[in-house]
Amino acid sequence: MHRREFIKTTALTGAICLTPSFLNASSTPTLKEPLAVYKLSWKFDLSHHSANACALWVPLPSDINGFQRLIELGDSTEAETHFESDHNRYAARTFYAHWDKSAQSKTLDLSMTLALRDRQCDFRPKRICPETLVHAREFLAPSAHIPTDGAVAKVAKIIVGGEKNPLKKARKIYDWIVANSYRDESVQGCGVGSPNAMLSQLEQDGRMGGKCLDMSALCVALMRASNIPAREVMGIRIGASRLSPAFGAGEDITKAQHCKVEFFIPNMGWIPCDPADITKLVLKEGIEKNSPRAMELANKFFGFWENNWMALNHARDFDLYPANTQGSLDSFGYPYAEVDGEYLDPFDPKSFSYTIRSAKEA
Amino acid sequence: MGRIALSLLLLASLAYAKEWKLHINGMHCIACTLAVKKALMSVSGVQEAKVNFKNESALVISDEKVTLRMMQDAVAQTGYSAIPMEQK
Repeated sequence: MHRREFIKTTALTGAICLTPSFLNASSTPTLKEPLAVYKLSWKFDLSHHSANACALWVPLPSDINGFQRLIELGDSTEAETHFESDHNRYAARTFYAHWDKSAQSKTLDLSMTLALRDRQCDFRPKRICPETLVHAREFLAPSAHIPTDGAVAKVAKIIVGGEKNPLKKARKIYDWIVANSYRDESVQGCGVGSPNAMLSQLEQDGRMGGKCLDMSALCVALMRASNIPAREVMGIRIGASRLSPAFGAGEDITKAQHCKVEFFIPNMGWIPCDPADITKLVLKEGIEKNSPRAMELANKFFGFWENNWMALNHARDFDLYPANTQGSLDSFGYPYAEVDGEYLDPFDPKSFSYTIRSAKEA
Repeated sequence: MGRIALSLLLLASLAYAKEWKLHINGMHCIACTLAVKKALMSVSGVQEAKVNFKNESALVISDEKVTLRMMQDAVAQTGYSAIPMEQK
């Protein structure tokens, strides 16, 4: 390692370990965990809406549990109003820009440097501060897209049975989703994230097809219905995976959004898991769910996030700041824009238009 | 001469344009507005459609020949339903 690289890496290591919120995490980061540093470039150009007012909300990466740290954020725009904010119910970090209809250039460039560590839960009991316990209980409540009654409550009861241990209950739910769902590539983006739609499909077809938000939302709903605080975490794959090409991304990450799950155990903190990626692994590698490789990774992904994935936020069914015209957002993993108050399709980045690129620095 | 005729045609189309305010049922997220808008714009004679999730509404500008039934059928095919709020 060159001296300059060493200094940079150790400086970033310090920055990521000093993140105050990591005491809430399910495991403490150590220098053994690999540190990755990425430079990201987001480019937006809404100039083709030449006669319209445009407003844009971009989800920014969070600083999360000592495993992820936004080191640097730069912006370049001629927007009449632009600022960074986390003034919303979930403190989802957001970059906002607004252009008047007369603006000639409606562009925004964001550059960011991000440091990430693998997040590996050790499942050992630890002290959790009372504020974190209180805050976590908020993630038991239902929301517009996360019901905890009806079919969800019924299925949760069947899966969990008489189990009382919350960690074992969470594992039963995770395993059940992996066993009963499959990745449907025809689904747009990350999916709708409707647990009831997934359960209806199961009743009708005997299995559930969807993508990451669909499976994560179902996992969250079933866990909440079983009295386990849980939340979806929207994010983006920003580099190659050490485990499988199915979990990785190249330099163009415009369409690399991916949603994972966190659940909370009172004496352990927030624990990551990712049932959806196991269904992706099975599809992309053409292996069976009960193959040794799929079972090994399914076991690993209960309590693990790899450091090639960047968490954005855990916001669902919430109001943006400043307020938009269309009302509450169901999730915030994609850029959100309105042109004269009308919704712009983020699943079509070419016409939107935007690109996101990533380069690994260390 | 051609320009005058074109302008007259444009004025005539505006004069005979109808404005519809529809209540849209069944939208569960903002992305649903895209499907409803696409359905409304697929109706021959619809010139503009603006859909709002928060108000569960659509504002449609159409030719004289467009009927409520035509728009309702198009919206119904996408799994939503449209009810008139008021007609000008």
